[in-house]
Parts: sequence; structure tokens; C-alpha cells
Amino acid sequence: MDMKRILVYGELEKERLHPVSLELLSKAKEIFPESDVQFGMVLLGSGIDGAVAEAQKSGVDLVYLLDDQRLSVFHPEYFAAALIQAVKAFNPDLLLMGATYGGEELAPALGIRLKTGVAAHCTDLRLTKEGKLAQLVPAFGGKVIGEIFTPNTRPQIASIKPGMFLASPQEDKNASLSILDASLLDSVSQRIRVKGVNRKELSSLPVEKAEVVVCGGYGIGSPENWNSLEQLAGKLGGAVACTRPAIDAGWVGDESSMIGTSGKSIRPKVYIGVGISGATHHICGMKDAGLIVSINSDPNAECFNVSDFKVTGDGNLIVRSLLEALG
Amino acid sequence: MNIIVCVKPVPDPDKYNLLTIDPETKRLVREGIPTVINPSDKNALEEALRLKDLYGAKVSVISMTPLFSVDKIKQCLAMGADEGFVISDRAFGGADTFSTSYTLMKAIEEIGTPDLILAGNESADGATSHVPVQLAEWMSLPHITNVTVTEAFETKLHVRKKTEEGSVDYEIDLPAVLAVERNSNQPRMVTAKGMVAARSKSIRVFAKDDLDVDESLIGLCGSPTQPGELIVPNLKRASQELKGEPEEIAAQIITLIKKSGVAVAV
Ligand SMILES: Cc1cc2nc3c(=O)[nH]c(=O)nc-3n(C[C@H](O)[C@H](O)[C@H](O)COP(=O)(O)OP(=O)(O)OC[C@H]3O[C@@H](n4cnc5c(N)ncnc54)[C@H](O)[C@@H]3O)c2cc1C
Ligand SMILES: Cc1cc2nc3c(=O)[nH]c(=O)nc-3n(C[C@H](O)[C@H](O)[C@H](O)COP(=O)(O)OP(=O)(O)OC[C@H]3O[C@@H](n4cnc5c(N)ncnc54)[C@H](O)[C@@H]3O)c2cc1C
Repeated sequence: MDMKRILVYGELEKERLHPVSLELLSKAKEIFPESDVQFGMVLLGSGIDGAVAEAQKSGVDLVYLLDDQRLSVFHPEYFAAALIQAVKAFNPDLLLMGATYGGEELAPALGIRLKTGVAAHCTDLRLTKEGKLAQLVPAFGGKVIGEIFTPNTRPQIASIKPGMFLASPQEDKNASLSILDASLLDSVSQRIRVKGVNRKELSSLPVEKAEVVVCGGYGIGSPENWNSLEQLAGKLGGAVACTRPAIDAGWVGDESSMIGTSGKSIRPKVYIGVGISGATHHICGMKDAGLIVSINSDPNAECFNVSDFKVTGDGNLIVRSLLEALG
Repeated sequence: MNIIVCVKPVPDPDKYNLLTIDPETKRLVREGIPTVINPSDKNALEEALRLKDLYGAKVSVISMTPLFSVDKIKQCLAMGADEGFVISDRAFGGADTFSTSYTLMKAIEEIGTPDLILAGNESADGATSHVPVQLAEWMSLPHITNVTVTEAFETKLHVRKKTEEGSVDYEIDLPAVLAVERNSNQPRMVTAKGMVAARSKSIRVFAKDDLDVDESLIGLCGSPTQPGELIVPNLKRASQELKGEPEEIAAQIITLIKKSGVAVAV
């Protein structure tokens, strides 16, 4: 089946366009460069003029907008209803969404409402020799990747993890704007009501934006050693990241710097892993780093296989020496 | 209150490094990897049992799974669930999340709609996080995923959903479907007493003919997504050893960082 109309869900991050939206659009344009393919983007939120301007310059042909107070906080029912409206208006063959906490809940909901297939948390999209769209879906903690096809139903839907593709720069053309009818929200049931929003303090340099990532695992062993790791990341002008056990041990406050299947996928210039065994759940989030250096006391550590350089020894000693060398 | 907990037996996620693909058949070889209850499903069950302890409830577990993993459903009964339902039939094999959730919906229709459906937030194997949402959508029930905190009131719940920016608190009317995050609680252990009690609890098995299903929506053929090839990505790198005293190794690492185009002040 032909791909002639592609709709990207324009996810927001603090009233701006979330990078994943542009990443998806760039990938879609790379796969479908033909001039007769139409691209749309749909924005749902409240007070989001900045994001609208960005979307209009993103290189799409048409931007759908619903700017309404009821969309100021993610709400599974309002958002699904509004998105369905945009799908009906644009009639896409393919709907792409970021696999964020919101997108991950919306994509499968739309799958049932539109009676179509949804590919989950894709790490890549590509055309087969026969010209079919293969959606690459990781399973078993990233150990295997399955090609998923949606042969017969449209739109086919795919959610894609943030950080998988590079976003191409903005374009000169200014997409036209189509406003969705806010009254569609009136008929949405009130079974879910937002009671409050709790914002955590976000790091000034999130792991996905850092050029150097120093990642610690359970082998770090103590909060004091964790502290040294953070100092090291600071001195390198980078960010500290972690595995899941480091969170469970209480050395790291929240999951925003966790790398892997249930966390983030990063591609820094340099990744230094300390005290990390190399479980597939973690590897799948850091495998695309430019340079990978692993430090582990176990000469047979799994992480060594995916590393450019390895150090067999006490990671905390090396961290200390690095701190001394950096002054 | 009636609560149904969705449970999926999965290959033990701590052993996924052992998985391979048979070069001939291109199928996954999971030899030597035991089956366990999906981790976050234990949190969903614990949440149900906690509500039962607090307010009294009947807790049922439901699973679409091959019959060989019925012992995992027994384990749920030993933890404190009251009854089990297993959906098992060749005809359901190869289902994607669309038809898995459809089939679960049909079985729940047969059992009777509960006040609350709890599921794990994602399975360790397929890990799509689709099934709880899609089950809710088939049943026209409200849903919330990534739930870390629940508090029950007469006809509604207060729940917290994890988000990029922190979390959002919602009030949700019952009946509803919630997908529970791992770490949202500490699942209880199976006790000897629980194991004895489980012996007298029932597990009912549904085959295809026991359910009023539309055949065009079940199994591989009823699935809108179709699997192609399975790939085990080759991530091997050179793994060159850095040697010497810690200071020497540190110096080598700093050189490598600089060579990668990152400015480091020494
Ligand atoms: C490599 C690979 C890729 C795949 N990609 C896709 C895809 O992109 N799209 C797609 O539609 N399908 C896909 N599937 C199929 C999908 O994994 C199956 O349909 C699976 O049976 C259900 O999905 P899940 O394991 O992802 O469950 P999830 O949706 O992640 O499970 C969440 C929760 O739902 C409940 N639950 C899930 N399954 C059951 C069950 N059988 N019985 C009872 N409760 C259950 C559990 O509480 C579980 O914790 C893929 C499978 C593989 C092997
Ligand atoms: C469904 C699911 C999803 C998951 N998602 C994620 C995810 O997104 N991200 C993630 O990271 N994990 C995830 N996990 C957990 C994952 O499976 C592994 O358990 C985890 O990655 C291991 O973390 P680790 O390497 O820090 O700890 P361990 O496996 O305990 O390894 C510690 C390592 O430190 C080494 N060590 C000990 N002392 C020292 C020392 N002094 N110096 C140097 N080395 C030392 C040891 O040799 C060992 O190799 C998930 C698991 C499941 C089941």
C-alpha cells in the first residue's frame, strides 16, 4: 500500500515542540522523499504559540492545532479524542508518535479506536526491498529486534523512542494552519479528572544532551563513591547517568538519567561505564555512543564486548585518579 | 469490590543475555530460561491484594498463556488471589496486542466486568505496554498507565501517573483499568500457608469455543501487525584493554576523550 499522507504527533515539552517530533518527521522525510507525499503535524496543548510557530517551520505541509485549557495537562481521554479528530481530517496512511509517557498511552488507544495495528517503541523504520515499511521493535530487553509490518489497516501507527533519529534543521516554508474544533472536547466523558501536577527539578544538562556521559552501575558500591562519579561528570562538562540497580540502591533520586529499555537512549560522543555488568536492558540504551569505555572488576563482564576500550579493575580507583588528573 | 489482575508469564528477564536465534528456523531459542510471573504484574497483584486487605475484595487473576505456565497462576493464588482464569487455545497463538487485548476482553465479558482491572505497566518480553490500554479501549473503560500510587475511595480512585516532568495526579471513576509500574509497592512473598490455601482455589480454563469471539480478530490471522524477521543486533566492538597503574589509565582515558572531540581542561 502506498504511503501518501504521513501525520506526526507534535509532542510538547514545556510549551515547546519536543525534539522527538522533529526526529520523527526527519526520518519520515528521509524514507519517503517523493514530492507527492504530504506531511502533517498535530499539536494539542494550551497556550502553545511558540510550538505552533516551530511546527509551521518544521517542513510539514499542514499543521493541525487544538489549543484549549483542557489540554494543558496530559489527559488520556481528551488527547485521544482530539488526535482522532486530526486523523479524520488528514486521513493519514501513517501516524508517527514519540514513545513518551503520553504518546505511549495514546498510540495503543488509537489502535483500538481506529481498528489498526500499532508498532511499539520502534528503534528504526525502513523500507524493505519490496517497498514495505518495516517497523523495528525491540523485545526481550533489547536483545532481539523484530520487524513488524502492518499490511492491511490504515493508518498504521508507530511509536518511536526519543533520541533514535537526528532532527534535520527547520525549513523556510511556512505550513498552513488548520484549527480543530474545540467543541469536540465537550462530548468527552469526565471519568478522569486532573487533580494536580507535580514537577520535579530537572537537571540543567539532561543525559540525552550531554557530550560526555559517565554512567555508574551497582558496582559503584556506596553513596560516597557515587558522589565522586558526579564530580567526575561535572569536571568533564558532562552528565552522570545510571543503571536501574543504582536507583534501587538509592544513590540516584529519580529515573530521568536511567539508560536502557525502561529509560533513555543516548548517543553521546563519549560514554564511560563504571561498575556495570552489561545487561541487554542497559546496553540497548547506550550502544550508539561514539566512544565506549567500560571499567569493571570482572574480566568476563558482558559490557566489555560492546566497548571500544576496557579497563579491568576497581572502577572507584580509576574515578579517583581521573578526578586527580583533572585537578 | 471485584478486581481482575492481568498476569503474563514470561521468560526470566534476568537471563535475556542467554537468548539466541536459531540460524535455521530464525526462531528464538529460550532453552534454559525459566518462566516467571512478569515483574510488574506482581506489583499489580500486590496493589489488588492491598486493596483487598484494606476494604475487602475478590481478586481474580487472568492470563492468556500456554497451559504449561499454569503453575505461575497457582503462584498468584498462593500470594492471595482468590481465583484464576487461563485463556489457552492454539487459535489464539501469535496474537499481537490488538488481538491479545480483544481476547482478554472477551474472557472478562464471560467472567463479568469487575470494578477494577489492574495490569503490569509492561511485559518483560514483548514490552509494548499496549495491552492494558487496549483492553480498556475494547471495554470502553477509562485507563491510566505508568501508575505509581493508588488510593481507593467508594466509587473512584486517586492515582499518580509518572511523566517526563514528574507526575500527574488524577481522579478516575470505577470501573477502570490501571497499568501499574514496578517499584510502586513491594510484592508479598508466597508463604507455606498461602500455598496450602491455593490448593482449594479454582483455576478455570477458557478455550476458543468457551468464548464468544469473532474469529477474524483472534490469533496471528486476526492481528493487524505481522511479524517479519527477528534480528539479534551485533554490537561487538574492539574491546581493547587499557593497562597500567590507575594514574596511567586515567591519562589514557583523558586522551581518548579529547580525541573524540570533547574539550577537556587539564
Ligand atoms: C519482537 C516482538 C515485537 C513485537 N512488537 C509488537 C508490536 O509492535 N505491536 C503489537 O501489537 N504487538 C507486538 N508484539 C506482540 C506482543 O508482544 C504480544 O501480543 C504479547 O502477547 C502482548 O504484548 P506485550 O507482551 O507487549 O504486553 P504489554 O502490553 O507490554 O503488557 C502489559 C501488561 O498487560 C498484561 N498482559 C499482557 N499480555 C497478557 C496476556 N497474554 N495475558 C494476561 N495479561 C497480559 C500484563 O499485566 C502485562 O504486564 C511483538 C512481539 C515480539 C516478540
Ligand atoms: C523489564 C526490565 C527492564 C529493565 N530496564 C532497565 C533499564 O532501562 N536500564 C538498566 O540499566 N537496567 C534495566 N533493567 C535491569 C537490568 O536487567 C540489569 O539488572 C541492570 O542493568 C544491571 O545493572 P548493573 O550493571 O548496574 O548491576 P549489576 O548487574 O549488579 O552489575 C554490577 C557490576 O559491577 C561490577 N563491579 C562490582 N564492583 C566493582 C568495582 N569496584 N569496580 C568495577 N566494577 C565493579 C561487577 O563485576 C558487575 O559486573 C531492567 C530489567 C527488567 C527486568
